Amino acid sequence: MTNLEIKNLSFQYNDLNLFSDFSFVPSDRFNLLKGHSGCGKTTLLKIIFGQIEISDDQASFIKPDNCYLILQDDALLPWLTGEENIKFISEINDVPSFLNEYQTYLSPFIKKKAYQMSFGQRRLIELYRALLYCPELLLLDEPFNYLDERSREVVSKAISGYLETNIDSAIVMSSHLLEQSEYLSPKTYLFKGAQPYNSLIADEE
Amino acid sequence: MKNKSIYILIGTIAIPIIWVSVKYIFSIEDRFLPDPVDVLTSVNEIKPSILFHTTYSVFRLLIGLLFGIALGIYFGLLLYKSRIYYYILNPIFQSLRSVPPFATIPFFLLWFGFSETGKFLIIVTGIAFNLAIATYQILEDTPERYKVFFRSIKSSTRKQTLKFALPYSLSKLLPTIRFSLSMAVGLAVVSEMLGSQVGLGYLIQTAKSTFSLDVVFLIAIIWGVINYILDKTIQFIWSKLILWK
Repeated sequence: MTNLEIKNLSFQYNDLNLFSDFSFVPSDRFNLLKGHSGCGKTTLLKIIFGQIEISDDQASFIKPDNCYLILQDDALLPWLTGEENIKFISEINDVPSFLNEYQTYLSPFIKKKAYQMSFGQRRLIELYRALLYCPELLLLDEPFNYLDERSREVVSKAISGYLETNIDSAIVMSSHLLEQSEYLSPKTYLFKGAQPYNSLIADEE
Repeated sequence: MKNKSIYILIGTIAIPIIWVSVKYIFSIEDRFLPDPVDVLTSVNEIKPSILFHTTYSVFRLLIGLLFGIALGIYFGLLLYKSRIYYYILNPIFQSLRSVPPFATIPFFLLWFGFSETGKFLIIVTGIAFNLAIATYQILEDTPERYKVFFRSIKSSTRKQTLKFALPYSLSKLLPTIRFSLSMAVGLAVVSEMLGSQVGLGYLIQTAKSTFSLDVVFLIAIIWGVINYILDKTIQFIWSKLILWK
């Protein structure tokens, strides 16, 4: 159950007809978008988030108020430390229990300035603060990029804990790197066929 | 890079070398191109001392520059902070910055006379409006990832302006600020030429009227050195301030 519903979406991007009469009504709380590069996964996430604005005649559209999107480039402020970047969004001191392991995992570099961190470390901080913020709908574009296997495992556990703890929350993510995760089992949706797409096909494996 | 300092040395002495060579090889008369030795000894002719005039000029320049930069960035943040400010202020700033600052000098003389206030204000207004537009443009072009982040956490514009916009725009403003410096140098000279009893611009003005070409050359060189030192200082401050590049 989610309050996300996109129906009859028509969308063109630089004369490319990307979506036509497109529908996406996820029934699960954890959804994975799959498809080849350039098929419109990021665009769909931006549309859901509202970064790409859709007028009423382009689609009928329901989404939660509290959406949080993480793009592939990190949005940490480079002049702040990891800790300050996390505090930028919340002053919460009591970390929910599903983030305990994650918090410990960050401790070796959390006091470093963001510009001194590796891509992977910045990505870990970025995902951590998003989970701490607890949005109703978390939109993730390739969240596992730059992460090594151990980090992917920590993040996966936290995501699964997040979904268990916040029963009103949902996730839509795109990822190429989720095949082997033992902690996550999202419902997979495929962009099938050719553009313009009109639906995502739930892949029941 | 190997031999870096040699190349820098060549660049530094190139113009003096050309000057000296042209002067002596073609035996050009002093009234067209002054003798380098005369230029250097002309320091002694200036009363009160050249140091006195230089201090005055640098002081005016620095005050004008600092206030101009601060005001420019502040205005830029205002434009970014609220659409209302933007709609009201943008046409004002755009029209004010399109007036060549050198053309406004007679008005400043008329309104402020020979006072120091007028000279500071010439520099401040000459650079502030351009800096405001540059700051605003930098913030308008904020990368999408930051826009998405602020939207995700529904951050207040106030917090965003203080914690993000100020450091972010500073990190991108170095080219504009270096340009503002040379603009400010030009404005300081001209403002002193037109309405002053002391300062390097005043010296140029009096030297010009007595055809003391050597003094004009001397002061041009001094301004060049001042500009160079300040430019290096600004770059140094930025490299310490903006570590994350």
